[in-house]
Amino acid sequence: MTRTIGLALSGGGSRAAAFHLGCLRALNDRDLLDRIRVVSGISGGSLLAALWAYGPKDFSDFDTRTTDLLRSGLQLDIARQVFKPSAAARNLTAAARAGTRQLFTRTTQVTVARPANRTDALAAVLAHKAFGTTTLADVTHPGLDVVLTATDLATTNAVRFGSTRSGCSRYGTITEPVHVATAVAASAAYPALLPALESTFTFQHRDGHHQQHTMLLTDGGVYDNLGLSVLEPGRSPHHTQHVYDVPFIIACDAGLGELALKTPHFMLGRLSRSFATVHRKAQDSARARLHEWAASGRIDGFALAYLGMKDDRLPAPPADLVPRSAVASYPTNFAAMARSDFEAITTRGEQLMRTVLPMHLR
Amino acid sequence: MKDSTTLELTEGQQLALDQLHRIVQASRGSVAATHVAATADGYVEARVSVGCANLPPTQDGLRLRSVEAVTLRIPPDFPFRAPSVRTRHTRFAGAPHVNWGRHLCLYRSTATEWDPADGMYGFITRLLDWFEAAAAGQLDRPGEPLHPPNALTDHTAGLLVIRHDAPVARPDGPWLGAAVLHQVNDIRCDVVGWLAVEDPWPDSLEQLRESAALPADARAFLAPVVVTTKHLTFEYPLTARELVESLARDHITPRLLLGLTGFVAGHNRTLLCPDADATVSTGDDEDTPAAPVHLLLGTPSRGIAGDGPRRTHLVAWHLPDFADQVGRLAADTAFSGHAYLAELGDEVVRFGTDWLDRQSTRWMRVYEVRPEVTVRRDHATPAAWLRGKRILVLGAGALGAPVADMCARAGAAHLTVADHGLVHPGILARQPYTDADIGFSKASVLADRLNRIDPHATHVEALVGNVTTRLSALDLHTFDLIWDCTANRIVRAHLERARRTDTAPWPHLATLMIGHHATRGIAAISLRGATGGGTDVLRRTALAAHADATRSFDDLIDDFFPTTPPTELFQPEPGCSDATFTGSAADVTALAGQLATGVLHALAEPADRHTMAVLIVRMPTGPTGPTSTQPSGPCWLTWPNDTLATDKATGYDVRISPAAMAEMRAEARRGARLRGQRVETGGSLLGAVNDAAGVIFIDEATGPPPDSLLTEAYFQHGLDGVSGHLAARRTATGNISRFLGMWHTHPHTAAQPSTTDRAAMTSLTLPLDDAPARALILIAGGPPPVWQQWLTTGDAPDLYTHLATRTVSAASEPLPPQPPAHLGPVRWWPGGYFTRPLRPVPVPRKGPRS
Repeated sequence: MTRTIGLALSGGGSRAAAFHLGCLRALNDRDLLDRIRVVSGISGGSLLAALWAYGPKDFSDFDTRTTDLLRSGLQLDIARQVFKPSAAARNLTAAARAGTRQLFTRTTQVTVARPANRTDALAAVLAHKAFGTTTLADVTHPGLDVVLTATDLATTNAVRFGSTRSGCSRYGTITEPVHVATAVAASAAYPALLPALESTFTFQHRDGHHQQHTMLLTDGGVYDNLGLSVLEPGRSPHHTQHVYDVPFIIACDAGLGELALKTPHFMLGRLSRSFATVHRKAQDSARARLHEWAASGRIDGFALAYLGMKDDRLPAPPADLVPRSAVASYPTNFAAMARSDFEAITTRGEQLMRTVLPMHLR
Repeated sequence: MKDSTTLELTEGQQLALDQLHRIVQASRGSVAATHVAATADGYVEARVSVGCANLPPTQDGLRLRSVEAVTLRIPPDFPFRAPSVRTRHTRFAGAPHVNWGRHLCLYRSTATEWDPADGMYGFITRLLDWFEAAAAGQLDRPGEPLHPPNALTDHTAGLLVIRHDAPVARPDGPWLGAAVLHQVNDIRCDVVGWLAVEDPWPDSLEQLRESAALPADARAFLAPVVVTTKHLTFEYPLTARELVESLARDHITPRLLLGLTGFVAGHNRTLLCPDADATVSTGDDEDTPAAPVHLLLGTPSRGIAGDGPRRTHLVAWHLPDFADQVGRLAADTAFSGHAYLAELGDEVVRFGTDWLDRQSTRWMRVYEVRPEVTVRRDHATPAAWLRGKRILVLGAGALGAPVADMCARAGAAHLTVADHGLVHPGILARQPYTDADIGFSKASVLADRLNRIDPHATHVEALVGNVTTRLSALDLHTFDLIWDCTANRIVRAHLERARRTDTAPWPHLATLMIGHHATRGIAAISLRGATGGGTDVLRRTALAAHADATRSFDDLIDDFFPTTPPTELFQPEPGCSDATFTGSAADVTALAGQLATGVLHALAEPADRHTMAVLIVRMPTGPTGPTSTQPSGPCWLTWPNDTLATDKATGYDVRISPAAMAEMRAEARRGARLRGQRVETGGSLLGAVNDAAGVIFIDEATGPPPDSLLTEAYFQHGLDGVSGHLAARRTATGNISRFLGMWHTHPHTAAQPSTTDRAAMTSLTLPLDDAPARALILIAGGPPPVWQQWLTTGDAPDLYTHLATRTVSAASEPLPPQPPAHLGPVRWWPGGYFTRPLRPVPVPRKGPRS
């Protein structure tokens, strides 16, 4: 089977991961998983993309493992990891190490306060619970490529962790193998919830020379919370390391839709809300881009399953459709999910994907 | 430059000299002009010297002096005629692009290459290019179109059209023989065959016609042909003496020419005047030749392209009638084989040679259509697919007539045009008929006209009468393509049924239609082996148009697939004239051309996935006029084949769309994933039954509603949301796709109805308000390998289909939410998406999603 589909999995914590799991169930039943050429993930979408791409070959095994992981959550474990003795020891030496790297004197005014933070902990939990020491090249499914996107706060560049190569346009290609757990944790460090992940990599620049750079990695959704930009048709190989040119795009969008009306009076609330607004705006324009690509013939077609879609917009909804209202209030963290929430979100994902697929993929 | 002011110059010549003056000034000595003079014929001649010292000599190149002088001839109507250039010497004679020894040929076609606005600037640039190419030996580069040897033709000498590939001389000697000429009219003959002297020649005119595939009444004769081993000079001599001299260098003596001419003339006499006594005849009859004497002369030369093998370049010399006599005399004496005639023969040859010497050569015009040296103007176009094909065109009207014309011009070998209509005055506004055709059958008139396009390659037949009844008279399988240009629903339905019931696959079928105002056109294509014909493809088009979320096909729906019939019908003539569309000759020809090109493109470059396609074209008028931002370009939709089954009750075709198959398979895979390998599942089918064509279309399938009962032995279709869903789909498809029936699976067992299924068929207990009287029962199943194959690779499972007629009233009570009692206690599952087994609760079982 030729792989002609690009799959984009949006950000949004466990809500996104569960929604995408439902979407993948629908894609499995429609026998489309084997036709996916590249999966692009952001944040929670990165988690699900990695669980599938680096997980068990058999779909049911993947489904069971993912269900277990999302149901039990990552949050409690993250908290435990932060207070592990090894982590505390790292914190003690942090200032000196940071000083030698001149991180405090950077003109970007980004400082590393706690190198062994909760995001490091997330990476450790992910390594422990899911990925071990698997590196990005070890994709389970032959012919599938993976791109997980994070943002480097130091340079404000998008950083792509990929199964074929990792890097960013500014520094070049990362030469050492990158752990899947690190890439997922970086991509999932949603600024309002988790601090940035500090990582040092050796880069090969375009001119061939090698140099180490330290990055402050945070949620990839700051730019493009849908994960579509790596799938954009007609990208030039001169400007990006990731060119896939897939004629069909399936996008799973766990976005909220319209924000519930509330007036944040406190600093923290305003910060959180402004992040939410940035993500929502980025996602809206990404959806518009999909329609544009299809209308201009740059792609042959796309299917978009959108968690926040208004139920009455579905042309032929299933009789037992999980309504938007039942899932839209679920937070975007990685806490343990109650069975009812998990089932509602996965089922809505499966239902939406099954409903939109026949409309767009002939 | 001098004297230019004292000459009588036209405005154009003055302009040319001014431009030349400026060029000379700007050239810093590399171009100089001297001796400007007017000639008696109104031209101005200027001698121009071109510095060639900087052009390095090459082995193949012309040897140039450091300064080359040429004479420009500037016509009075410059710049609307290009100047010419010649040399005073003949050092360049024999080189390519040098005519008559002195004339440099700078332009192949002045119409496209000479730009009057560039004037002398362009001309001198071209001249410098010529010298550069001459020095480099690249005047006649391989791969460039050939500049053929030049013969100044004489219009009164007649016209020769050469159709058949010509013979080539062997390395050891010239090719001698005759050309078979078909005399088309008083001035034109076509070369339709070649006979070498050593071959057996036909004994009668009938044999000759037969050998050249000419019609029985064709006038035909032979002409002597000589093909030389070496090429002559680059242009052909004006006098016969020069010609004879240059031929002699290739061992073609006047004796041989006279003998061959006489031999052919004698054979013509045998063919054309069989009654006349060939041996002893006297008087006028002897002096009048049986046929004109055209001597064909071939020289080896390149074809039109590149370095390929040398092809024969042909010219024809029209000789006076006396050549017939002197030739025959020479043949009868010098070539008689009798020693006692040898001396007389020598005398005749000497006399004949003297006579030839005094003649001037009269070269006939020659038009080439030889495949070996010509390229068809449509060779790289989609229409090239038609060449040599057998084509059937149904309908000889606004679409059919232009389409048939295109097929004939593209060189289809056989064309049948079918129509039952007669030409009447109203159609002359847009159909290619004339006043004289009124009252005659359209098909016959059209066939007569098309037969005249290329009678050598294309044979056109008319089929007059009702297409649906006359079609049986044809063996459709002998055609390569059928165009249905009737725009007639009855014909379409008839074709769909005939195509379906035929055991052998039909040729490609293209169904063409245009809209009510000739602003839009549709071509539906069913390739050989496609599951659907025109009716099917148009139905899919309507469905796709309705389903399009961007509403970009709404105009198409209104024009071709309206949900309510149009109220305003256009009836151009009083009485019961057929309603038709409004549209001009320009409209219908444009649409026919676009649709035909699209169809032929699809046939010439078939895609691997789809077998059915539709092309939609919109004219650049109305809403897509010059001020509109909406693109009016063509639009393609394509479909792969349906999965086919045959209905057990009616024998109808059951065509299951890939979308419906994919949905059923997704449900089967979902069931296997969640409920285990053996639990049945099912749902509703949407589509339509076409009784005329005998086709059941399954467009969509849905999964089991939430209140369905799913067990290993039984599937009961629930009702939750079904009515709403059916109504929604009905509206969304413009009433095309409606409730059709129900499907369910028999995992790992035969796709045959169980006792329960048989019982259910008669009642079809789906209490819908608008439940149709008939419903299709579809069972997908198969033994384990087949079933498993379907789930893993998508190869179709075993299918059972039965169009059942309901015998029990539909308005029965709601379904019991549990399986029938006779099945005993079974574990059953609900439909829908929330899936946990219900009762009886089995041994604690960890569900895949709990």
